[in-house]
Amino acid sequence: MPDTIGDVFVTAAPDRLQQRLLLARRSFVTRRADLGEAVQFAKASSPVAGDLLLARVERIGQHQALESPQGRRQQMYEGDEIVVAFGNRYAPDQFDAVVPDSLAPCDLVAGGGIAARVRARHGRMKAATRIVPIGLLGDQAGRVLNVSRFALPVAQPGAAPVIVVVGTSMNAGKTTTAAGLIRGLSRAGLRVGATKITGTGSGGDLWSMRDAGARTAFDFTDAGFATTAGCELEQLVTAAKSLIAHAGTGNDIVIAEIADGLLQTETHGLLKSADFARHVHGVVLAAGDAMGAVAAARWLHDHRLPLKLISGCLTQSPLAMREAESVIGLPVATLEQLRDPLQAPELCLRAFEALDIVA
Amino acid sequence: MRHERDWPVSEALRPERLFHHAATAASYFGFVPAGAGPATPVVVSVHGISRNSAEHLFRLSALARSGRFALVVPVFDKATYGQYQQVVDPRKAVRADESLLAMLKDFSGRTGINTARVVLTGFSGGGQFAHRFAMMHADRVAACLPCSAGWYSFPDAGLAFPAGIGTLPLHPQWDAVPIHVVVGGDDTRRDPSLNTTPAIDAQQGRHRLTRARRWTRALQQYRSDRAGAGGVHLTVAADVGHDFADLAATEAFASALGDALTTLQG
Repeated sequence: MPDTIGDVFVTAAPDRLQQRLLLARRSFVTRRADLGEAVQFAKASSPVAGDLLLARVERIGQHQALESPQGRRQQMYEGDEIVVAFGNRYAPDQFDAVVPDSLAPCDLVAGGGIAARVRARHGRMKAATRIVPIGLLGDQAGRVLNVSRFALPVAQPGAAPVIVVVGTSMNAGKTTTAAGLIRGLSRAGLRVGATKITGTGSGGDLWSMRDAGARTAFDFTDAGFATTAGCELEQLVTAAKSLIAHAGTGNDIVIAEIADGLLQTETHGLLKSADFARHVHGVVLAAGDAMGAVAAARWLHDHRLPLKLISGCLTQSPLAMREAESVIGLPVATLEQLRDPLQAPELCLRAFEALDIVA
Repeated sequence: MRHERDWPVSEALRPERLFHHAATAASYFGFVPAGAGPATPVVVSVHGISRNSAEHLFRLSALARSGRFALVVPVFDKATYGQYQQVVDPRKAVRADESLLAMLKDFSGRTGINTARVVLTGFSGGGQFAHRFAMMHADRVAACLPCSAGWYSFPDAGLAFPAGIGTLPLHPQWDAVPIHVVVGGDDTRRDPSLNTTPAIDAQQGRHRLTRARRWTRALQQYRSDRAGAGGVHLTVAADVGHDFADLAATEAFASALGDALTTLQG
């Protein structure tokens, strides 16, 4: 009996499926899933975001490696079987991709293990790696296993103050800024919890936060999302608050990174949500250039978000820093300043409107 | 651009007044609780060699708010003050004690709070600094709480400072300063920051817990026949290693600090 594609479904003996899953390459976004619950292929034909599937690599394209749950880049070969999850992708520098409406061949649109159908790609991107869904993973009752089943329990934010790092766009330096701040605060002796609230499942940002000194780090995959593109705002706000709560548990301060630029739909929606914003004590903006910083600062101001500090790629240019500082009227901090054990907490204390610097 | 919305501030960081005085000669964080006046007690908390001043500020501000005391948290930067733990850096001869005196003057000038006598505490390297400063400036120290110090200046004039007191100009009121040593019961690891020279191991013990015990005992004996001598106490905080966050969160530390403040207020 062939393993299959499209709308044709087959069942696999539980032990045989488990054996296949053990041999398959497992991706990062499946890291919380208990694949022991997968005893058959589910009889569903229309996947939704987060559904777990076994797929075969048909043709290697842009992504040649699959990130493992532990962060290892696993080289893929045509014919390999992989365990991934369906999800939307919104990445102006890479792919615009959506969850397909069938199990027809589709694309691997992120190395963390996201299956989707590409609608458009950046000019510098190769065609996506082509994959063939073998089947959606199902439990004993035939229900599709979705990453949301394995999420951390929903929690409410506690007392730890929250600094949110946002950016003017992809690659504006958000992750570096967040890691720099985490470094400085942890060097100062503070217990830092970190979280990446939105984005596409990949361990890179989490490892970066942990390496910088975060005692705990969580991302949206811990809240039950393979990616957050296209998800409902209400769900996203609940997940964001819960991630902040988990990151704050046992820690003094939370550094939360929000992916992409301010104009990205989910980022935009989340920041405009009063329910989310009331848990934000300060915003740090990572900007690629001075003009972007000015526009983003204005947007944050218009939406009454407490922008306190500018950083990001623009700090590579002293002139750009000066331009941004003079127009926006807020401090622009270099990576070196963010990593400093005295300056980082000072910047955060100022973010809480609590600290006067006196001569 | 100004933000007009009144955003919530974490209770843990809601200061009545918090400031950082950034001058090299006297860099410090100052915290003033609500309702403070000239007689509000002042606690000085000195960082360890990791220069974790912000952590001291962060962890003690809640106690300061509830206990209604002001906080002065020095920043002895490494480039300027080197081995501030010994009060006077042995290589550069830079005086961290004079810097602290300048901080107290500046703090008093800005806030109107009397800093003539303060409660002095410090963790690890800060604990070393605290007891040595108290020996030299006892008139400014109402009570001293050296916490988890790596090693101590023993009251032995036959031993050169800083292992002993040698020719150190002890302040005449030093014997009267109440001392309360606080150390973690699990602070027994010989980490890289601990002074592990054979001479110190032999004189003071192999880890901070033993060293705290020996110094407390030595000081108790030294003061036993001196009139008007201040008390010398040791509190061992159970299940705490060499970690300021853990120690500062203990009832043992809060209680020792509370007793010290009583001394000041009395």
